[in-house]
Amino acid sequence: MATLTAGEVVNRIKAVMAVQGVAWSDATTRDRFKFGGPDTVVTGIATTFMGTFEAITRASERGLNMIIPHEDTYWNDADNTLTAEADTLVYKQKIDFMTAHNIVVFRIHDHMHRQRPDFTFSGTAREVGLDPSTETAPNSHRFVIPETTLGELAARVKKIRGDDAIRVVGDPNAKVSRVAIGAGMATPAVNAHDIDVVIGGEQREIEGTFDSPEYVMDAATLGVPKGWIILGHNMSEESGMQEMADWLRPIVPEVKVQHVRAGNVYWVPK
Amino acid sequence: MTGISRRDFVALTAAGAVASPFVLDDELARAVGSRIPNPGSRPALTAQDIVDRVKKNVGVDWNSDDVDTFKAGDASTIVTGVVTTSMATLDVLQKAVQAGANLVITAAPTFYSRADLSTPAGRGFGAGRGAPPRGAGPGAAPPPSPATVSGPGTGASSPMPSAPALPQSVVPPPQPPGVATPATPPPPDPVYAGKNAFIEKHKLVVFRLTQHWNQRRPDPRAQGLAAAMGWTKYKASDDALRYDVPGMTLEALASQLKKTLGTRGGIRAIGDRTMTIRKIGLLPGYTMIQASIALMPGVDVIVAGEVQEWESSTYAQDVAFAGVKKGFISIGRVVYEAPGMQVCADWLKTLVPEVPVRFISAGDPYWRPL
Repeated sequence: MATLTAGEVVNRIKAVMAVQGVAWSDATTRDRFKFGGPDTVVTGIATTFMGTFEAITRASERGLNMIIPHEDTYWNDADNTLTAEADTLVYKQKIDFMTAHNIVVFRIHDHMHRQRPDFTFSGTAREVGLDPSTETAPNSHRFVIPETTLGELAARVKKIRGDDAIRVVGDPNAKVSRVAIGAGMATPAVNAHDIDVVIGGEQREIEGTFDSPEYVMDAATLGVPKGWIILGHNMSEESGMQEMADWLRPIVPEVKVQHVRAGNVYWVPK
Repeated sequence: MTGISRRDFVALTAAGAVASPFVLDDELARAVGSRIPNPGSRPALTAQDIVDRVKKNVGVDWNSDDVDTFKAGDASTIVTGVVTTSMATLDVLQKAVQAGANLVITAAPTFYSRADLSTPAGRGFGAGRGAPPRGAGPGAAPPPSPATVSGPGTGASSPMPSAPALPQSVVPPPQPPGVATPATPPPPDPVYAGKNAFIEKHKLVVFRLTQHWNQRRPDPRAQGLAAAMGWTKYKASDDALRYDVPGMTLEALASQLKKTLGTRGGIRAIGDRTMTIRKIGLLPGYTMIQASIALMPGVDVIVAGEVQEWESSTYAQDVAFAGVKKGFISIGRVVYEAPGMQVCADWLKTLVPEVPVRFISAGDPYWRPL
């Protein structure tokens, strides 16, 4: 079998994206090598939400040494390793593991969000059980569902998604049918007049450009039907890394490509 | 020493989500009135007078900023009572009116953003948008990275090798998701309108006090949380951010925090539930990764307000995965502001003895689905 390098994998990603209308830009600090480099020989590829120690370990156990995370590896968006080096608890162990197992990490974030569909949105819609045929227009990220209550919708999302740490704001009895999907921090504000509920990943609780939690609390007091279902950044974008693995597979037929989950973040107390 | 009463705090925070926490009756009003220096005539204390006293006595230099300012109402209004709160939700404003108060001092915004504008200037922002830039705040751009190598010790990740020659794209570049231009203007925002109408009807005055209040040392939020939890006697650092408590499991600690602070869905934890906790470190408010990295080695658990998931949450997840016995609990930023504003109410009582001062919690914004 011909030797496949990480640099060749990345070149193919750039080439196919360009054909699909997403020209590559080197201006971003996000979509770069985070560990290892283009010369590393690839034994297999794991897509994952975040370059967690858990994701890297599970990938390595499956014989996959190229990690393609959507988010960072060193606990900050710029992946500034000087920030991470201040840590004495786990950083060295993580680096030593990656060195020992010949890991190469290449992040795919900005360009992935420019693809159509943006897999982080379509993946979330799939994983929370929204029927693609109910999307108002291609890539609108808005869905009209049969009228239900916020409480019932949230319970359904939690059941399908299987995570306890989902957080909801709003009157559980509010009647809702117009749903907007968000991914990660690209969670839309909830105050648009033609949206009842936002299902998103993460947003600042207060002091953002728009504080949806307080707005929804006031809407509930006034009897205006609004809801805010926050899955968590991980839960909102992990699903799309399955679609990313499916997209990558035909581009790199020499090696196996699998989606490896970055692991659950939070548990909730009784 | 703090004047906070744990029982009162629990009662108020628990009540905040469900019921009117207090009613200021005539008897109490008279009792308060009898303490004023000039009995018989109600002192004409304006909202501006009270804010001036706050500025003079808060103990930190009052920098002119656009955060700690009046957000609603007329500063010359004669104050009948003061309510401090974690967040001036409409629910809290209603309870303040029931209590006979007309000045609300809030830690969090009133009008749904840092800008705190009483009209929906930013209406529709974000709806249908693609991934915005993110970071410390609006407009934060990723820092330039001159490094040409990646990995440890470089402080940056490497740029891509130059792209190979590519075929001309045959697919038009993706357009931003369509922002439909409505044929008619959207209806007025009913939530802004409803809140403004209530404020106007009851002639309420709202002042935000957070930047300066939270600069006090020790941090009032940490001080208040410790008092509520009964940890004051276990204080292990002058800054009131560390406590050495009798051993308990991480799960038990999380449950205690949930019950005592009256949280609902906002509390979330990372780490081995069965590990023993003795050293607790507090990170009030919104904090970044550097704070977690600095605090974690010296404690068993961090009790944080709000962090970004790609920063401290993932860090705590990595630490736990590596088998290091450390826990991380996030209780939410609004919930964390509550004990600090309880401390603020106790402080204000000494500063404005002419009018009654009470704390009302906004509660935990979040609930968990069934």
